[in-house]
Amino acid sequence: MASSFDPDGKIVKRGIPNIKEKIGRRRFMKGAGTATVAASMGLAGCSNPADQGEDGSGGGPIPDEPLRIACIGFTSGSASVFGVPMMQSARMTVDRINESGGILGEREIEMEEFDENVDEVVQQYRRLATREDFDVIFGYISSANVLSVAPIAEELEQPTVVWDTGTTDLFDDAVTDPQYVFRTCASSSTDAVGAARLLQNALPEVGTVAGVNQDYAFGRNNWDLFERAVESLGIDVELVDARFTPFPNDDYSSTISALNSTNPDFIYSSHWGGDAVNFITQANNQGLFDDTIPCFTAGSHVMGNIPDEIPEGIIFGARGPHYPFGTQQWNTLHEEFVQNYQDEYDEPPYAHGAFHAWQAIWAYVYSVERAYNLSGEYPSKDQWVESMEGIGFNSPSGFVNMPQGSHNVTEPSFYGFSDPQEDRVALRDTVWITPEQVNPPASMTTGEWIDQL
Amino acid sequence: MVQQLISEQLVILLNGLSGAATLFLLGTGLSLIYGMLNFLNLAHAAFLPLGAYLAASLVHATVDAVGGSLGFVGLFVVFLVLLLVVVPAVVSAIGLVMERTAFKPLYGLEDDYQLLATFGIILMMEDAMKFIWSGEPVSATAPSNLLGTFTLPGGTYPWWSVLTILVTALVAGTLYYFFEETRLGKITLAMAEDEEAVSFAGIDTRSIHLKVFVIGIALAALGGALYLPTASMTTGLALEFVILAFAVLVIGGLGSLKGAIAASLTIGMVQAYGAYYVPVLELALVFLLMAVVMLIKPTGLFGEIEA
Repeated sequence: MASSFDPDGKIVKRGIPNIKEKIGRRRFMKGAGTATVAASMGLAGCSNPADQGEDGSGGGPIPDEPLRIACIGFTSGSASVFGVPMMQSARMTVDRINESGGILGEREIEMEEFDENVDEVVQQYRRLATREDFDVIFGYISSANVLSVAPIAEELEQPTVVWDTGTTDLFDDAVTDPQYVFRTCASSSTDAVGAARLLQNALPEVGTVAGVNQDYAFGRNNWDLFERAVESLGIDVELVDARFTPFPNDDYSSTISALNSTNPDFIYSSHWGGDAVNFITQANNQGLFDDTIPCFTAGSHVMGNIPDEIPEGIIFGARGPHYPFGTQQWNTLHEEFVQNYQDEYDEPPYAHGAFHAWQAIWAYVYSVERAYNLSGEYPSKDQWVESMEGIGFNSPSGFVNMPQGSHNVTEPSFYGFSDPQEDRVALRDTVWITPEQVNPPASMTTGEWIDQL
Repeated sequence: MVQQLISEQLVILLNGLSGAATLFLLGTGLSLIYGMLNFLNLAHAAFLPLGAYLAASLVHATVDAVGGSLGFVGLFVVFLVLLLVVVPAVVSAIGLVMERTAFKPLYGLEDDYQLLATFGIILMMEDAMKFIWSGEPVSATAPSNLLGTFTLPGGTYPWWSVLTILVTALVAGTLYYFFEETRLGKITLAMAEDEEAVSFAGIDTRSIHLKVFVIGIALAALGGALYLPTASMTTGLALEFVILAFAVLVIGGLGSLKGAIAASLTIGMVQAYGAYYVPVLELALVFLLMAVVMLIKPTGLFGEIEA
């Protein structure tokens, strides 16, 4: 195994901490990985390739009517902590594309927002796909919701871009031969296998591991993948406790007491949103992090929500490298995006969903532009599908690509240690693991791939 | 081994008691208002988050304004006054305004209409809180941090939770005395039985209504203020609290203070022990408990009125 923990592909281990020490004195690793960014079509604005006239491509008519897109995310309820920044990012991204003329510099995007916090997610989806007849539907933060909707999307042949959910069951189980459904962010495999590799390579002194995850599709899926990865990689740790907490939840006191009693060296948690905030606040109060390193695979956004509650030196991931501070500044897009979001909404984009929204909308726009550029015609629905398969582009989080034969983007795994500053919490000693190390090849399901690691 | 077992049990007991404290402050008002005023107010549960949000704003404003200049004791006293007095008073005032405008027209209607209308009100209150405090989670741990923690084998425990338990016990004792021993308490209990007879006796039942209503709202707000320093408030939690408040109502019995105390303690302990030993049933246990009580005693543990 050759995880790229640094630019030379070496894992740097200096000063592995004594786990029994206080977090404040932990110093783990020095240096961090840098993305192996492949150059691609990292254009910050749109243009009509027809005007560039490469090889005589492009030039066909572009539809006059706007592209109608529906964006679905939690804008109410406890998950709106996460959904609101995501929707804001989508709105900002669409506005900027429209400011530069729209898709191919000519076709405007008309975006409508819909709350995911509804009882009848499937009915809502059907209505948007049929009666309201949106060209594309972008959506879903909850893994449970996407598993219900994805088969319907295929049945209705409705172009659908899943922009944030993580469950690997989406393409391993719910829709095994996808045609019109794509996911433009990494699956939970990135988080779970990444955390297992982090444990194996950077935290050799960890002897006992516990899990605390939300009791629904995403949390269960995360723990299952992590557990399998630990076993398959032959990591010498004992799994001492696996807890699943109600979703959403306001009282973690007994869960934390039980974890204090087991006293694991390492905790794997895929908690996110208001639950992550509640868990961390209460765990701090009960001293859980005094001699335990928690790894919040999707929790980095809480550093924006409750900066004063974040102790030094606990591990955070952002479902990929989606953190505004402490990343490697992969490219100018990252700085640009963070700055634009800050200017627009007066806060940094802490929620990784904000980055995911950017990726989803640009993946669609790039795929249309790519198809147009190659064929000279504005793509039909099926031509768009062809163009999405294998798409790759630079994003604020580095290079993103959809491997040929897959409908799921792969992203690197990214973890860092919380580093409270005067005005914000940064990530230090960031660890970056290449997508190939944490995502299955297109020919295998996640489970099959993990089991043969 | 024995020492560890004792400390383990002590921690679960503390978790159960602090959970029960929040439940008592949340559920008692709902129970009293329903039992004595015959008004089923779902929106009652929204006054706890409102108290918590307000407490957060006051704590942050205090820290910004006079944080370093008051010293440890001075600052803590200011926090206590803010959280235990100012928050319940301000939220009660808001509750009073709402009682006169939004709730009063609903008195005397069928339960179904009251449920629907007050469900609408809770949704509006949720959105109003989101509008004022944004969708971001809010925390204010300064009061708890000032008090610090004590160490138990296997972890630390915040003194604030102990304070919460003590304050709630004091409130419960005061309320018990009020309803059992004072004239006003007796009139209130009589009103629950037969309001018309009480009004024929020349007693101003409307003013009693308002007093009970304000006490109920103040309790919920106090619950929020005490809950916040060791937790955080996120949007959407009001609906979670509705379920818990109803659990107190159903298990304890309508309008019964004894019932509210017993139900809060029972639910708190069941949740604490359940989450510790059988986490897989954490969510189901409260509902199982409700089902068992309903089967054995449909009026609740201490209630005499059918729910």
